[in-house]
Amino acid sequence: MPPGRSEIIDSLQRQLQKGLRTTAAEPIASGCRGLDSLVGFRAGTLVEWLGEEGGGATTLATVLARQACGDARPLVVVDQQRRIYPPALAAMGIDLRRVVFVFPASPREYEWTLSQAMSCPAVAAVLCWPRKLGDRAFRRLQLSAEQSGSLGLLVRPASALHEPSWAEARLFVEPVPCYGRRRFKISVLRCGGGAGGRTVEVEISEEGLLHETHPLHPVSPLAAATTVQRAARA
Amino acid sequence: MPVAEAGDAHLERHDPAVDLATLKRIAQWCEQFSPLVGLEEGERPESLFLDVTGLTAIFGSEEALAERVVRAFARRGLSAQVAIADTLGAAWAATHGDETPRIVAPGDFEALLHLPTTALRLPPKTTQTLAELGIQSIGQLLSLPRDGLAARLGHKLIDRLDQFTGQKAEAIDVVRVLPEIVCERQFDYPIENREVIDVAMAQLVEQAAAELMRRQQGAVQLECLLTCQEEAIPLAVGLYEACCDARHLLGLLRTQFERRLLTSPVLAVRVAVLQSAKLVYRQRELFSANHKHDREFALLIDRVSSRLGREAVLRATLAADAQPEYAYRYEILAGNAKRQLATEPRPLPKRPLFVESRPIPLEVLAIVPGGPPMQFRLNGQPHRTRRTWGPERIQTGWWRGRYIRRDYYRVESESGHCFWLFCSKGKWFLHGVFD
Repeated sequence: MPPGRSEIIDSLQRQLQKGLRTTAAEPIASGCRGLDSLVGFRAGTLVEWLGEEGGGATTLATVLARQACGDARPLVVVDQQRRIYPPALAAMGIDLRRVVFVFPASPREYEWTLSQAMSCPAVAAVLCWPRKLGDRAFRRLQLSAEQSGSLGLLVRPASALHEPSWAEARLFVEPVPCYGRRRFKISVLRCGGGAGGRTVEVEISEEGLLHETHPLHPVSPLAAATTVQRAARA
Repeated sequence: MPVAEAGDAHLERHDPAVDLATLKRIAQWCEQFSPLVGLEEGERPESLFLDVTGLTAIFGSEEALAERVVRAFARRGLSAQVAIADTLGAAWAATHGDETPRIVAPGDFEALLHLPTTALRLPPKTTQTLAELGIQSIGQLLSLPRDGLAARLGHKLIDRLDQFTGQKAEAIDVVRVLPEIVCERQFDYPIENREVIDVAMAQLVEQAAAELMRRQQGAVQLECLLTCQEEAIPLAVGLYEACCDARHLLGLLRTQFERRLLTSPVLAVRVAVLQSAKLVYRQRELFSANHKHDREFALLIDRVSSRLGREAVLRATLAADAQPEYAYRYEILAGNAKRQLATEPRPLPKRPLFVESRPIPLEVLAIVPGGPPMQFRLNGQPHRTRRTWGPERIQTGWWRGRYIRRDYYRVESESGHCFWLFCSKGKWFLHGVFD
């Protein structure tokens, strides 16, 4: 029996409420409440991590990939330069049995592999480091991810900051020098199609868990010492 | 000299998968000498076994055959140690001696008894123990009581001795097995039209798939051989999961066919299932789409492996080795029926997410020579260090051939970026980035 007029209208309204997303976008928790409330990561979207190499963009993308994969779903790592070091992924809590490493030889094959991996509904997340990504290829990836429900994690150099992007969230990562754990400042450039502009500081534990940093306020100065004037009593 | 310190030398990344693929190709080429050619067992095979039983009638004598093999290898620019003996164990031992080609007369094991125990294909640990016990040659080992040897050094040693003397049978694990299913079509006249070839290929794949279905099997390795007037073009496909779906198999063959240029007209097409496995039937669960996802994942791996090559789609397993380059292994996913299990989880040292295949030389300022770096220059940019962790000394054993001793430091620059540096013989290198 074909759906009635009111059912169609209801369905369309629901889609509008979801921001015109055709698939149910499943939320992904990064493990850090502050970051989640600011960005709101969802399956079926692209997240772009920008930053200088050595600054922590890949670390944060890997944490999110681990969260998206959970216990059982596969992660696809596409690396043209063959620099990724699997033991480091394992040390961050990623089960290597669930990771497929793909090493395409040319940029053309790189784009093709990304589009294939992102359009596969079985894949939980795709982690990649595209240096150059054309506008059309980027849009194709976004549509593929939206269709399949996989999370695309693109780590790009800071020079890609002014390039057009189809990512749902664009985050700029800078390291914050501190004593103790590694700490990063994440500036939200764009999130959920809207403008960003807010920042959050997170730090990562040895086990690869994210925590929001709580700035410690210096101890309030003590009240000015007042000279106690003792009344001389006889 | 460590590889990292080689100045003008041209370096190539060592790729065990390519090594293995090349050795397999050489093994197939060796089929001109023997119908049964196989690789030695182990993760990194280096020797080939050829069954030459009854072949003297064709080649004249064993000496003539051995000479012919050596000359053929030399024409390819390869040097080969060749030996002919009664058993695989004895032949392997003889090839690891000084003389080549070496023909051991039938039943003459005594000629090999002077060879060292390393010629027995034993694990390095066993060889070392034997050396510590003062047992140098195979003859000395054979004169010892078997029971005592088994109890002290394990049954592997006894197996190897028996394989050497022929008391225990050993079969060649042939590199190219006879195809399980072959479907072939010869054209009446040479065909240049790709569409016609494609139609013929599709029909043959359907025939093969129907035969697989009848046997309740799925293809793991499939080959399509296009016999042209001037050459033969093989299209090889490996699958992640056994499959008998003609459409999927044809799709994988097509991705390869589209990328091949036909230099001459095609005379025949042959589709062969080289390896098959039992089809996996999953019980469908109510309210679960996992079975569908598993299938889609297998299809993705097949597609990507078919286009990029099986060596480009891998899975990593951890290895118990302190040297960073050897702390993991890659394993091909598609067309591999014997998939290894992943290693057990264990505490892992702090390692960077990116590691350079070739460490980059650096100019480093350190107060103490070889001590923690204070400042270094990378890509023309100076980096002052704010914090360092280390040194973590990593050195390799002498048996690796190249002795490596490195002092690793985890370095955080003043801007907060993290790098992995090491000092070896007073020179500094960047080995990785904690991105």
